[in-house]
Amino acid sequence: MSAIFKKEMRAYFNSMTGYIFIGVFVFVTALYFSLYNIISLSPDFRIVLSSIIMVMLLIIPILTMGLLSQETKQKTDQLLLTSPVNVYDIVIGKFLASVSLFLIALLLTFIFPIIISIFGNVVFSEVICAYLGFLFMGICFISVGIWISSLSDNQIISAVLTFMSMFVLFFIEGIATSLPNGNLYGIGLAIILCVLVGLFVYYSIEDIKYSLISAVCIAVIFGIVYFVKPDFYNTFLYDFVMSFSMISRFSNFILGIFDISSIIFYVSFSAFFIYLTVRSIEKKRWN
Amino acid sequence: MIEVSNLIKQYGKDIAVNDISFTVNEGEILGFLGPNGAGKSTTMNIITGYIAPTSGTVKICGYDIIDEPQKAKSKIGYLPEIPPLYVNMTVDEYLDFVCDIKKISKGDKKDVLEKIKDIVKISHVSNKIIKNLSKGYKQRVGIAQALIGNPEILILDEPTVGLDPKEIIEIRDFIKTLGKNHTVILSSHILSEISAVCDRVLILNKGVIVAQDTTENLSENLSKNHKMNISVKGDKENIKTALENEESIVSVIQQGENEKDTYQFIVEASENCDIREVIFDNAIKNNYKILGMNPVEMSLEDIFLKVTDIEDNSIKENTENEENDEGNSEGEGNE
Repeated sequence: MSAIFKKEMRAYFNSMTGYIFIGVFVFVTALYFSLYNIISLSPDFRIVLSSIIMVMLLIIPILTMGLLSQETKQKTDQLLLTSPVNVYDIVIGKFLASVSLFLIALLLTFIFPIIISIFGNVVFSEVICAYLGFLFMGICFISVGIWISSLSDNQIISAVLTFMSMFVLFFIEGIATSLPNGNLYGIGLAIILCVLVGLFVYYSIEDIKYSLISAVCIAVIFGIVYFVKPDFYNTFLYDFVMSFSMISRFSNFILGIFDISSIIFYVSFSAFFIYLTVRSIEKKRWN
Repeated sequence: MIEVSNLIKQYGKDIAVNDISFTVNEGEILGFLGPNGAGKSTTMNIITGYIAPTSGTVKICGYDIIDEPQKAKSKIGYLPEIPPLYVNMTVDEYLDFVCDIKKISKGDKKDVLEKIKDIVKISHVSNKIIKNLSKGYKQRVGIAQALIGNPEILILDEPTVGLDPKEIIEIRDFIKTLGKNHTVILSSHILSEISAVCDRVLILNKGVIVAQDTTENLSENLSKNHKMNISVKGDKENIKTALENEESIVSVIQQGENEKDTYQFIVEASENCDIREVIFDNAIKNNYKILGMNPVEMSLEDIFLKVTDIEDNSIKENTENEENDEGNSEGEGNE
């Protein structure tokens, strides 16, 4: 894992990618800092952090687009997959390299709250809390990016797809509120989920028996919920879509609330996408 | 050392490898021979664990490549068809990275790298960026990569492609020396290369093993030459009918006119006679002059036809058209 990590970090700084990422990120943060803090004479740095989410969405695909697609394109995946390294090690090594670069960029922006603290009052615990939320949110986006990068051997395609999915995740709140509510929609979604789980298991292990069993298990759970708490389905569609919302969770951190359940959500969200990435690489081998 | 049994690889409806079984013993150099698309690379990719077979098993030193991939893979050095190089790295950085993923300890790394760079002669390009290297040097870096960790088994997919004739000879000699303490599988579509290097040959066509034999047996087949390319001076029609009337001559194909009244023919005789004598006698009898005579090398396609017993006319026609091409590429290899 450390070998892959080292290689990716080297690749970031051997090419322009690392410098462009850090440069753009710090530069735009500095712009917002000047606008919101210096010109408006405000000591609140958290508002800057919540404004640069958009920038993060734009530049995270730069980090992740080539991670796996380039390996496939250059055929270097042949080296990685035929050497005594676990696929998880490969993916996690790459993931950690992206996260580290993101972290470096983020740490560099920490100079701005320090500058503010020279001239005014900064509650560092609040700022650090906001930073932590920002970091974990970024990690989620990176995990989505690395998964998309494993789907195609074209960097540009994976960059565009990553952009798109990030925008969907960004605007998911708006999407959720415009969705219709009601019992039937909730039950419909439950059925779709059962089918999806079944299909996922089928494509993973290609065994009809186990796919049916897992789909039925999920269906039974939904059934029990229906009888115990039928109200659940009234808002199920909305709740389900909202559960993907990174931004609404992040607003808690901006308010200075260190929300451990959100951290758990972010971590498991990333872990799920790393798992998907490994599956997608394995899938290519078995096709 | 390597046990492959009932290997099948299917891509949708296409069968790339169809029920292949063979074993490779320790210290043996096995050659995969076959035209493009015969399933050589696919088989190698399966043996090295890059892709998984649809069914069948591969055992490397007793370890199953699917069940115990780490242990099996640590025994193999693999040079794929396109060397897997990170083109933005320098040679040293790249080899250093390969050492890391093959889990070479830090202390040994330097010695290992120096030795390997010496062997494949890339020490003087250590600090160059790989994308600026020539194709031959890239190939060498690829070979170096496969040698790292001193694996017991080396799998080389067309190792001499893109090299100049001098390099080809060097690499071939080198592979031969490797065979003394490694088990090697090597693929090629160049016959002379296989016969020069390998102990045993496995001929693949359309995903099936059509023949496996030792190199001696194969070259014995080769030396039984019954085809001659002759250039003769005289009347074209007379010569042609004269040759055709000869009992032991099976076919006469006219190739063209070089100089005035000088024609080229490809003459094939039946198996139990010396074609050179037959042609000589025929020339005396019919009063024409032989200006040149050289054997038509048995091409890969001929051997395919021989081993598969396909008496398909369309294939034969293709073979004859490609014969010259094949001869040329083999010639390059021999120079």
